[in-house]
Amino acid sequence: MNRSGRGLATFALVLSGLALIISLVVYLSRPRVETAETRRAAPPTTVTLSMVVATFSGQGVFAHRWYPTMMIVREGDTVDLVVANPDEFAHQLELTGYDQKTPTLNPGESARIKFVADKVGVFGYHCSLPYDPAKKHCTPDHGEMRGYLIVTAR
Amino acid sequence: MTAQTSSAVAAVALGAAALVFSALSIPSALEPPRLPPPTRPVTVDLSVIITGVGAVGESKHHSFNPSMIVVRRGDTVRLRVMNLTFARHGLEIPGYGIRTRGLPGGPTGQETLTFVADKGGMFQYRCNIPYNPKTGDCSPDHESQVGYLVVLDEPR
Repeated sequence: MNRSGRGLATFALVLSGLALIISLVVYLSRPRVETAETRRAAPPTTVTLSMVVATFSGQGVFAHRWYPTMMIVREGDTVDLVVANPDEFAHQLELTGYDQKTPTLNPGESARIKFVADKVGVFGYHCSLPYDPAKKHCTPDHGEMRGYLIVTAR
Repeated sequence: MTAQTSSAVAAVALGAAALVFSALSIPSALEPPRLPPPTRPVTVDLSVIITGVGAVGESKHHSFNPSMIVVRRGDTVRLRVMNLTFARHGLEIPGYGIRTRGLPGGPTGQETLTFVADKGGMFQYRCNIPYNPKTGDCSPDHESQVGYLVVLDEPR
């Protein structure tokens, strides 16, 4: 009785020692909950860019494009864009998914749009002034004036 | 106190400590993993222009515009490649195994490549027509006529 009791007590000691080690390992490797400190490590920034209507030409072809063609920001960043039109035809930038639109930009004009990128995803921008040669509105390659804003998840 | 009793007391103490640490781990075990919200794949439809850069006239430097294209894994990419130079050029993305034919400069030199960006990473795109002045193929700066497709590996 005494002998088997001691054996049982030793077995219990070993088992609870193992349990302590396992629970310690699990406790120490628990996923870190995001804190205010880790959030501060990557604060939202303002992405200030100047965007222009760029004209590419060669071999008798004139191509008009929004330049830059791609922009990447993170969710929560502020996008501050000055959109300029150095072309000799009027253009207008529209960022559909964010309901952002410049006024009609006549040759030499510029406008500023500023917004917080609070939606994640890919958002196309394009020229929203239909081609009308009589009014000197946009150019025959109107449909090709496309670009994309990518907002990545934070 | 017998050895038996002290063993039992030690076992109870260790077991209690294990219980405390296990209990402390419960909240983080129950916490759902933090994942960004899923985003729908889109089609990124762009025109890529091969053009001379800089001086007017016969440019010595040629580039792709845009020279960097960023999409997310799963997005469809449609690239309308056009060549505004005086030599034949093309575009290939070796990492995706796709290429255009040799495109003559001007309005006829156009081809559209469509593919699904199903692999994450950085993929170079470059001119696939070796420089040959006799046939009007490409230009001496063939090697530097490169750009990058960045496929973001976002969780879906």
